[in-house]
Amino acid sequence: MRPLNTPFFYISAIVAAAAALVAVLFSDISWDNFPQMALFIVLIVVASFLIIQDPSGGVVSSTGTLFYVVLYVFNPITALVIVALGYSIGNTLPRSWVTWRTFFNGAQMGLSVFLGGLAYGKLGGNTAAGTIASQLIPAFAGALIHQVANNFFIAFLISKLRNLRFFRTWMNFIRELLWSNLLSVPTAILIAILYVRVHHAFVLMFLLSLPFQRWALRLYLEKRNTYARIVEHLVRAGEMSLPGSGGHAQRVANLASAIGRRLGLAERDVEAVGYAALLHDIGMIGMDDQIISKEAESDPKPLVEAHVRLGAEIVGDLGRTDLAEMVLHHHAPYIRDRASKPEAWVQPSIGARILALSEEVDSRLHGLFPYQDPAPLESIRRRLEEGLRGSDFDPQVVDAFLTMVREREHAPFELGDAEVIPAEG
Amino acid sequence: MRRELTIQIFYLIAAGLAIGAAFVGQPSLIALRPHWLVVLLLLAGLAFWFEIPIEPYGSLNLSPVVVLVTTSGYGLSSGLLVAALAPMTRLLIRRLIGSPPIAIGRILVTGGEAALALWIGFRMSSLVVSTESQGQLVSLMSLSGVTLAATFMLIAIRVALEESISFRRLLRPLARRVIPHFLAMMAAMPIVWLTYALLGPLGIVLSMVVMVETYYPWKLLGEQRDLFLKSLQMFSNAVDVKDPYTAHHSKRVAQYAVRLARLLGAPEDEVNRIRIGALMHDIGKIAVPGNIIRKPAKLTDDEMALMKRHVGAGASLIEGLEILEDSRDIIQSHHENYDGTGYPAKLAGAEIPLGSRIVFVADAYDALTTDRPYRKGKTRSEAVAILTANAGSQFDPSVVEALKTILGKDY
Repeated sequence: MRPLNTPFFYISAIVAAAAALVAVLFSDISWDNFPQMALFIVLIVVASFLIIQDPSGGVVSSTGTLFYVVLYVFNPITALVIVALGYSIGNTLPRSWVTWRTFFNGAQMGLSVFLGGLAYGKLGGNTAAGTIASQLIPAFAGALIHQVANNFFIAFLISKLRNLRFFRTWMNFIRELLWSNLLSVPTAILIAILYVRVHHAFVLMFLLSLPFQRWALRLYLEKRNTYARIVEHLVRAGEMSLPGSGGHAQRVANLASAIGRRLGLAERDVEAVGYAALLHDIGMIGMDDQIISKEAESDPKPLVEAHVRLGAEIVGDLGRTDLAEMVLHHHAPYIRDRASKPEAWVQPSIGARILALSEEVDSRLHGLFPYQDPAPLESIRRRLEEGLRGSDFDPQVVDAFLTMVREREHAPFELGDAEVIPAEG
Repeated sequence: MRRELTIQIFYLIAAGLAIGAAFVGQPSLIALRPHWLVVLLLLAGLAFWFEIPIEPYGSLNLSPVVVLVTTSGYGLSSGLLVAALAPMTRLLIRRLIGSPPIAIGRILVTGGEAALALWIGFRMSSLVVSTESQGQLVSLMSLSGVTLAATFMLIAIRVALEESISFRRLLRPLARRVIPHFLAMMAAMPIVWLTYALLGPLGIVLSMVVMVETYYPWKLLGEQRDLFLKSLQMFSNAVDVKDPYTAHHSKRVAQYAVRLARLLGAPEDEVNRIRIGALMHDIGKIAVPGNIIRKPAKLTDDEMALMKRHVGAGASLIEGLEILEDSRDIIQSHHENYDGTGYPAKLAGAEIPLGSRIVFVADAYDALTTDRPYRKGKTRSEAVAILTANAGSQFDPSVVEALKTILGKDY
């Protein structure tokens, strides 16, 4: 990785802040509880080893629940020490050693837990006594603060490293992880209360549920890959009956997903755009002989309109209205610039706008229906920059695409294959 | 339709009797304070959101956990109330958030089934465990064990009736899908009980959320499988619309084929293979131009040859694909006549895979009964008469007989 100045100072500042907190509040650390601290450090390390690929992209480790337990059981500075040590060790052992990553991960996670613990205590959270109802608000608030802080630390670094807009990246992280995090709060409350009030052994309950979850997730991921392979194969088979379009759907899907990621869409939405892109020409299978007919060559518009409608209808069978909508609008600019009444136009979703541009680019590039001759990338780019941007296509989608094209000229760029720094979930 | 109604009435009466029996001679009736009853009802209703599909037999959910702990803590009548009313709560919640409603008959059967299972479970486990241990962990465990076993049997009976599968044949595949989840619920029970004992009804709420979190990947898995099956259906439909009059033809053929296969005693794994084969039987028509498929007049020899290629094209299209490949022979041979005059390999009789013979009949029946631009679709009885006339030559007679059974008296 290229050494960049802002990230370097940022990482140093985070690590220094964590170190300073430990130094100032050193006397508050409950060293007499050292065996318990060690127990949790070991647990966090073990849980970090059992990383699972997240179904919606990225990585899930089950450490999140443990962080909440630590935050409810120990005082803030003790929690910081436990989590910083556990997380940096657990994150480093199974992967290669990268100095800045080890220190940064430990420090930022420690700080997040510290802030969460502070909020928990200030709101009257008390795991040892207090009724369960009075624990709920502090517990959820503590978890929320922890997540927001953690997302902030990570989003700032990622936005600097990848030239993304910081605020949007941050908000996307929060949105994406919020529900699964809040869902794990009750587990954490339960484990914390049982741990403190009944027996320390209850923390092992957490370890017991881990293999069960991992098994289901692995099964899910295997199945998902199998299903995806089959669908991709069927799409390719469907293209056989249409001249010259072999691989078109897959290319459009790759491009659309890459643009979606670049725009910072949530992973679930990126997946939806990719799936809609894969299926966008499915209406053409039933119209194969009409597409290659003489009439289609002289006036393709009726067929363009018919195949998006038929495609949307067929995709509608999936029971996913979002996918059907994207398929319906994937030729929107093409149909619209000939339509007489622009006010009759319904604003398509962001996914449909991404799909429309991806479709346009690939069809022009390869001279596919409704265009006839392949055009070089340069002329497509000029057209987008001059006329089409804004009038026919969503400017932010066009900009994202043009940026990607520019980057590709500087360095070979694998579409949709960027390294992900694990955001904690 | 009539069968479904009978089942619903049966469950209603049985559940009503069970609930009535539970309340007789219990002056205190419900030990649970009303607001907690509402909370637990809501919780059990929400537990339905968490459906674990046990395809093709419907789905399980986590509401038994709420029902069982409620029964253990507050007595049989409270538990029965929660069990019977939870599906109603679910209906209410769905209405509030604007989800599509569920048929009221389904709701009644679900509630009746749960109440009936609980009643059986309670009576039988009180034979084993003394009443003094009421509210103790041991009584909860025995109650849960027997109730879940009763639930399993009731599901099996209902599915066997609804899908006309023999009960004995159903037990094994159903057990394989259901029992792991029931065991997981049993394993979670002590923890739910402990939190309940420690924290009161709120403990049940808390531990239910924990269970949902642990189970979340299963829900994802189910949704993924559902999307996949629908995607297959979508692809076959994309090919079917080469002739607009045959839209959703494959979907209907698959429905007939599954019922025929079960009636003919195919094991459930084979039924699944036949389901996919029936769904994809015409996928090879991707390679046949639409104007030939749509041609109203008789095809020329050349066109016929092109048309006949679709079976081989379909079979080679799914070659090497997991899941679909298992149905390859069904697609390959679904135009083989019973007397050996069909195509592509001129197989005869039992040489033709059972799945192909079934798909052939289902395919023909659906094609005959569908309207075409140049002719009206045949009525059921006309179609059956044509199939019967060709049984033995074109079609397997036993499959045609099975089709008559499925169509019932009114064909």
